[in-house]
Amino acid sequence: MTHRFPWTSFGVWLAACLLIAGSITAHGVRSDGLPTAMPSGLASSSWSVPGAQWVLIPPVIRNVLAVLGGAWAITALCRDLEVSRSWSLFPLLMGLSLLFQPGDGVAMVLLYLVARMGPKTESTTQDWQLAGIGVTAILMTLEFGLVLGAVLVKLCQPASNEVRPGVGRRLIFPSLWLAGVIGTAMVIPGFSWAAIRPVSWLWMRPAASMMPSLHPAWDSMQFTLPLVLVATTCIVHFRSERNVSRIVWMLILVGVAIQSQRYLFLGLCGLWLWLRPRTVTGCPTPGFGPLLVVCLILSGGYGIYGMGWATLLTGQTIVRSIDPTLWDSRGRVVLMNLDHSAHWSSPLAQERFELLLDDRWDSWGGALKGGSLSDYVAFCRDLREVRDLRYRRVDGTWGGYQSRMETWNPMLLVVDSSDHLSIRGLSLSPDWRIMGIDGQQTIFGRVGDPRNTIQIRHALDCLMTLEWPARLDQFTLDNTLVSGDSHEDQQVAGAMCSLRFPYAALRLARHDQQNHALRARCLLELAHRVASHSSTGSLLDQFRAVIVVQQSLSHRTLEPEIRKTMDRGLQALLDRTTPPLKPNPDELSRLRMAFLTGNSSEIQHLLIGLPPVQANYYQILVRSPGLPPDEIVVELKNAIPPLVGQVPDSTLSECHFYLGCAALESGRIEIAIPAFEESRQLAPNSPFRMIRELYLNQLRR
Amino acid sequence: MKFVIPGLLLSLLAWSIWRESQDRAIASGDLPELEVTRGWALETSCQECHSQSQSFAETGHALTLRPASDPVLRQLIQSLNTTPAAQRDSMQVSTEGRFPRVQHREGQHANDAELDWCFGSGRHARTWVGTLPDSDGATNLLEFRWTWYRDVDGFQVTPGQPTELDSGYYSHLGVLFDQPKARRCFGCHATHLPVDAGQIQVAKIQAGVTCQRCHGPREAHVQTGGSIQEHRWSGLSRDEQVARCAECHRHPEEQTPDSIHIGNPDIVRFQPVGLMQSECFQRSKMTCTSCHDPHQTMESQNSGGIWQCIQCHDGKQDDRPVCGSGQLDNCLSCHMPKVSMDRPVRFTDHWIRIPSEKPLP
Repeated sequence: MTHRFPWTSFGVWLAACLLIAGSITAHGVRSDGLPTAMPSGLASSSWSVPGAQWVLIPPVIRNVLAVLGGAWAITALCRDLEVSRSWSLFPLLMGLSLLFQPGDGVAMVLLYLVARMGPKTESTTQDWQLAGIGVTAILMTLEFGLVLGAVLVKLCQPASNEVRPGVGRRLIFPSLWLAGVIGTAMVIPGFSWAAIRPVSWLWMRPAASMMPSLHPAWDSMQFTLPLVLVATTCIVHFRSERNVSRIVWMLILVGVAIQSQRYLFLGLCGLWLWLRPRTVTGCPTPGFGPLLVVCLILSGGYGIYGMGWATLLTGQTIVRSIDPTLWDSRGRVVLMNLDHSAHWSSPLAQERFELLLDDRWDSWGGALKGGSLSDYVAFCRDLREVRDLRYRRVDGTWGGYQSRMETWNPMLLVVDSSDHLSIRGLSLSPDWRIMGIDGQQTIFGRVGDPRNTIQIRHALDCLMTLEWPARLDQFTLDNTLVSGDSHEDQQVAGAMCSLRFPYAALRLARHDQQNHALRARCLLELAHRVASHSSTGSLLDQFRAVIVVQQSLSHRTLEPEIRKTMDRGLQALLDRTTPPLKPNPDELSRLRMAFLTGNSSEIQHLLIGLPPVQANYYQILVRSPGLPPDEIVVELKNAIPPLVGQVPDSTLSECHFYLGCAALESGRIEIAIPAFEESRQLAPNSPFRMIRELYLNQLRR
Repeated sequence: MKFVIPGLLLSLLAWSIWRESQDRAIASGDLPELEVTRGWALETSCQECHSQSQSFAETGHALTLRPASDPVLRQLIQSLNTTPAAQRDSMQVSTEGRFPRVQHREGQHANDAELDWCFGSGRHARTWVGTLPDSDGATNLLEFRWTWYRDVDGFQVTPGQPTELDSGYYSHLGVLFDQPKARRCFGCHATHLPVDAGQIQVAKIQAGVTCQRCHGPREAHVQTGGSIQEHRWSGLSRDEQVARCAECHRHPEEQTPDSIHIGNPDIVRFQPVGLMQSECFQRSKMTCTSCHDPHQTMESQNSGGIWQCIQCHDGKQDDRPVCGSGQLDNCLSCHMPKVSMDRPVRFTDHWIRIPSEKPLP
């Protein structure tokens, strides 16, 4: 009997590995193959996975092994479809692979082993095997509750008709098993809460802003695409189901699974493992082989994209996140998004830092030390809104973060880099300063702690240099501003804009449609900056801000929070800089007002009556919203000389000021400084004199 | 039995989804966040039953925040134009619009700002402010440079503002506060201050420190005709009562330890700070309301009298002596003197002590 190598299964497994690797690297690892053993600062009792303490394998290797195991289990599950070699296994394969995280690996493998055990026989071997699986789950995964539940169900399943097990096997063995579990729960703190993790999140999950992974993310492709893929397969294979109880179980499992990103994978796997579809069609899809090859190619491409192999092949190391262990900082860390716990789970990080609270909601079950979950949530909210002093909330409790800071003594504060409101708020806090930004985390350090001082100064230096690039050869962004790809560039730039470094943000963000909202926010910030320091608005900055913001607001995909703040910011800018015109305004006043309000049609109408050299200059400003700053500089440099003698010195001064601003934005300091100086010489008392001096002082520091 | 577990799971799922929808309706976090009108009664409802609220309307608390469009305030700030200080500083106030507008002229150009609110009841002073939204629409605050003081019946520089000016756009107009500080300023001068992502909803401000600021939202109390009597002030502990006042008048916990000493005049304006250091406070059960009835004006209750002191110091017990120098009608001048700040404002020093006591080390 010849044994052929299972090429199909190998191909599916390889595709699963590539998809999983690409997905994890592209979107970040959210869980460890063997989760951390260190409880958080506030957790009173927390179950530590014993395996994480014994298995001395580096986290990277653990995650790789979990990925390989998970890919194997996904492959085995796909293979077990009664209709194998069918096109419908590809959506299932892709969907499950894109959802997989290392923390699901062990649980997935063990669940598969339990689900695929055959019917009971006279021998007790199967019972011991199930016990072994249960013990392995307790030792090696946090999701052991799922596995124990599956084991219990299997133990209680009726045997086949040929076997009539005795009372011992029917009652005693499951009872012993249950007693063992309950006894362990009573003796070891945190065990029982950890055991019910797979369901306890339903009533314990905090708001989505605090822990997004326990909530669905319908607006995220990372969530909806795999769900659609798996749903497609489900519909194909369960459409002929007529058993009511199976339908009920299916609906419940799906309903529970889609309520959180964290359990979506295991929930859908449970659906396929326990409710194996009884499909009716039996014809394999013709051309399955070529289909598998295409799938492999696509998976390989996705893997390359996700892991950045192209960059790796050139010898460059991709650094995607900040490593706080390289700083001098020590102490407690507050996470405003508890899903960032995985970033602080390395042994070195655990040695230096202690999370005040992490993503182990099972450790919140008992009373938290020195507070409650509500206290922590309140503390984070007060930090976000910079409410340091005591104040009474409408529910009668006392707010204000100062007292908690003294009790809990945090040293670092971690905010999600996409949480612009929090970053803006914290930038105004007297107690926190920025220390680093990467694509996922923006880290603030507590002021006054000497161990934070060096990095705080360095971070400020980096941001100031990016904003006012005077000394480009004297600084490094290493481990301070970090991004691995274009998406992370956008996140980092967004955080910098929230910190009021719009020029720095514009340097990092590309001038394209993908960054439209970011560019709008930065231009709005610039326009406000000029308006705050002068008695009028900047035709260049404000016109661009108005046009680009209005374009951005017209996009349906704009996030509601950003839409709201952008809309308010735009209205505030217009209210400040566009008072009603006096009766019978002259042409230039009307032209100025048209620029400040973004009235392009009025501008074109008024330009008709201007001399060509002046019209040409203003046309550059009209085109400026669509031009990169380099081109604005070139065009202004060409347009300004013909204006000499044709326009008053005040207008010429303004032209030079705009040239300086565009040059500053493009990083051309050798053009910016002379432009500002020329502007000053032409009109020392220009409305822009204060902002001009600010720019010159910064560029010359 | 086979439907028990699915049924339980289904119930749990439904409850979780309902809770998720409730979370979305809440502003942020898991904290109860009352909307603007939820739980709050109209302030005028109090007057229907409680006579104290009628006299309260004349108190400094009730009048501590007013829109700058108020006719009395408009007239007052316009009088700045005739002062030597304003003329020296090239400052001009215009009241043509709904709100006063101040302008500092420098050569051909003018820096100006609109002032839309006025802090202070006028018992001590009045300070005007202007709200300025930033690029996110969050509310910043311009504190006007010139404050009207009752003691001199005129304008001088606002407390805390520099004498020497820098070169910023607003330097001659005042000091610009960012959003957190703006919220703090309004927060102590208003009863209800709705804030949305940093933007103060000025149209919905319940200006002044009114009934519900101390007694809490009273909608349920009003709707039930007084049947619901939650959060009664008399039911609060002593520490809680003082803490309520200290929310705005400052608590010792919010001061640095080395700043709390009798040689520091800056803490005089924070009455609970000094009071809680006093032996009178520490050895008795007195609270702020032992001496002050917040429902009446200071003038009507003789706030500078001695009735407050002789509640305890009546000479009937040895541990509560009467004045050793024989003074029987003017306790405050020695034991709680008024202290002048750097501006023409005087605050009563609530650190009650014998004048001969030396400063603490």
